[in-house]
Amino acid sequence: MEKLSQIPKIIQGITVEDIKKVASRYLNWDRSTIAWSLPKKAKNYSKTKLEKKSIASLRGMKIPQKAKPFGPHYLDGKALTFSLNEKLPIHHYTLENGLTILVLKNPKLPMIAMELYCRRIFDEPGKEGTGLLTGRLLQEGSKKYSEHRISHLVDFLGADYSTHSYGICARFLKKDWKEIVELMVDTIESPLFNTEVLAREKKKIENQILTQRDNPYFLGKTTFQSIIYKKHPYGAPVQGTLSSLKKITRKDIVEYFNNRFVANNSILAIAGDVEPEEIFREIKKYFGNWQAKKLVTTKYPLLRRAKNSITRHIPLDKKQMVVYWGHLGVKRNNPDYYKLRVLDQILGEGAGFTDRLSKKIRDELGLCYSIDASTTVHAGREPGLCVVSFSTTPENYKKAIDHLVKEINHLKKYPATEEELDNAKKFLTNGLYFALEENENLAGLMIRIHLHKLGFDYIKKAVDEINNTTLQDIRSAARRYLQPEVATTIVVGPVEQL
Amino acid sequence: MLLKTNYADRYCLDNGLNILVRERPSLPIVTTMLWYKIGGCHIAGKTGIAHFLEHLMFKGTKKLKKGEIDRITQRLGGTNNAFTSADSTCYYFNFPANHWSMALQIEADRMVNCRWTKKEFDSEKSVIMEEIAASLDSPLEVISQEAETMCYQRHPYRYPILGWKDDLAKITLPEIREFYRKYYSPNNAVLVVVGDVKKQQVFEQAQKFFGKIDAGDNISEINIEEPEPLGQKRLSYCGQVTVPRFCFVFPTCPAHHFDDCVLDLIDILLSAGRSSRFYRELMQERSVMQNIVTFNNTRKYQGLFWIQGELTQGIEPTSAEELINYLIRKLHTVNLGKYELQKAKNIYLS
Repeated sequence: MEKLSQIPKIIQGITVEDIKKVASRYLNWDRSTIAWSLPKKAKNYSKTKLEKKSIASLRGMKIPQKAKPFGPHYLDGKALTFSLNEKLPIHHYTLENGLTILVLKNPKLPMIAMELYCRRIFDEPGKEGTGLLTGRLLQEGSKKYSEHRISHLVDFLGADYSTHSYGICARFLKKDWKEIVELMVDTIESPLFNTEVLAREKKKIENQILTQRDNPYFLGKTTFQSIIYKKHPYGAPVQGTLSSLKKITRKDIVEYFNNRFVANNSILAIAGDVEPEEIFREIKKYFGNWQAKKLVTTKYPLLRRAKNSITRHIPLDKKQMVVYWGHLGVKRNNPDYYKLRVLDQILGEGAGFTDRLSKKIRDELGLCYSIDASTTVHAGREPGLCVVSFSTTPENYKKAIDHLVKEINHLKKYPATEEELDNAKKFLTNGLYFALEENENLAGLMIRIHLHKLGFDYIKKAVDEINNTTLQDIRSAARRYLQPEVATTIVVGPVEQL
Repeated sequence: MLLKTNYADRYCLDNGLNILVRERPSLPIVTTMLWYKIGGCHIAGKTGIAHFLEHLMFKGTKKLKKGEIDRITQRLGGTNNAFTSADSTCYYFNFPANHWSMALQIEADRMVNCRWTKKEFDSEKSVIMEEIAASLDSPLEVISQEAETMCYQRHPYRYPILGWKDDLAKITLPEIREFYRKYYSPNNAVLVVVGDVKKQQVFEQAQKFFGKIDAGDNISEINIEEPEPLGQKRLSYCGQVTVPRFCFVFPTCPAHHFDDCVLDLIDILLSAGRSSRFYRELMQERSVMQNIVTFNNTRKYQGLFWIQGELTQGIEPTSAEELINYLIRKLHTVNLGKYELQKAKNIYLS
């Protein structure tokens, strides 16, 4: 312990010479263990020898003059305090350009989390992967910031800053507000979308697609989603396909960006050590010129639950089989949403092995290491998924699936116990504090509240809805929303042994 | 004895249980962790026994029937879990602040009162066999385990934490009971409590629940000196995979050694953030890797420094290895600039 408290001092005292000495002492190729996992069939490797010289210089990076070394901050700031029966103290503003701003003051640490969320648009059919590429390229340079400058600025400040198809997330010390907000503004005002960088990022995604061909979880999940969602954009692969990536041009990226990153399509949520009025003035100064425009609207195919069950086996040379089982789920605004959250606790989401599937299939029969089930996965503006997933060896597969269906049918036929219902309610309501633990979570929560029109008294309403759920509600929800007779089953692994 | 430090308050019960408390009243939640100083490396010939016991610790006690630990956790809106490392086994609870002391009550009870039936023992063995099968399906996990075994010639760090499959098959319930009775005692444990609590309350509650438990035998130190490696060791594992993956492992120093802190900084220099050396050189500028990570794996007796990654399609493994070796050797000889060093320190301290 005494040594632990010395660590910040020790770290600050480490010198350039220490790095050299310790690297020479331990990171020595002649004393190392080198292990490779290689494809069975020898690949056609590129014959080009990789040039052994540093090609990524620090490009004149210097310690910013005003930056001071800093250490962990354990201040006695006043924490966000409120009871679950109150409204969340969220400050809400809208700029003239339509940008929604949500601010939550939480001064427990001198830190800020900021999330810019731009409402969803989907990739054009045949050009899947456009959104993902756009998000990646936003971090690769803008008018005032080269890709290197962005990386160095963020890392030097010890901050987190990431760009996505949906927006930008940042977490940083309060003192670095100006640096981060200026970077964010330049990113959305004048991104470069350099064509060389586009080609490089495409190559990276192509590689990921090829690599995932030996990943049973990826194969299982994407196949499951594509069968459930059919031609709906939810069924399309977010990263695209090898052929769709080839078709994406810089023009597509610019168009995607211009349609999605629009002030009146966006929500900026800020949680942390901030004064709401002051932060609002700052946001107005920085984001006030961001232009509003007419938003693109698209109609999507109506999603319907399948009429028959479907089973798909995907062979892969593995010891275990990964199983995804389920069907279409519900929208976030479904009036039974909270009843289903309680049902999920009883069926397959309970703490430890309290839920029925874990208790029976994992704990009692020992058929898998873990099993998860939820009827509310990805519930949003469009229906989400009702999905059960687990992995098991071929000899245990049939027994596991039989028990899964048996447990679901039992829940549809017979009421849950009072104890199960009470435990599920208590878990969901008592556990709500954990969602408020970090500023990033608070920023995300504010965005969800706004997006799904849940109201700032969302937590109070959720607690009431959960507490009002009855045993009859659970049985009705199970009967209505759990339909093993039309389930899709995807099995990836040594399926020839079945 | 109460010892004040910048990080936490420390207290030791008469039976040897060490308690560390950090008051953080920022949210009404509390995390408790009970660490036993026994892990995957301690029992030769019975590999996997510490991890097996970790699984069984949730089954119930004289007072708490099977499943009750999870049910209590669920009712109180908390979460719990456990993990086993080479040096230790840790059990933890996250609870809303008004229920935190339930964790101590459960931990004290299951430190001495666990009860298992043969049926429970057999089904949990089957679960662990599934866990081993899952780990063998991950190419990186397979080569990492093999590399770890090759790194240590004599030290029991070479044993897999999940156990060798045939060792695990042979472990009996009486052996588990003996292991539990021998090593799970207050003098072999450290209790850590962080959150919206008052330290005095923690010490009082710890005294109340753990105070009457007798101390047991101390866990003996492992006095096996790992010989210096005479040269490089190599392993190739071929399977149905699409890209080459690698792990390069270097033996390092014991925990608490100054060099271990320097290795933490080297880890950051090489792979933390988009401005790190490996990210810039290997993923961004040359695009020869899809992923590359390093981590300094601190251990009580001797740690390991890891470099793990996945190549881009078509990149020749030997050539990539030479390039990484070149970048590592640069650290031996070329002074890094003040900017880069300060950046690594900032990342570490933030």
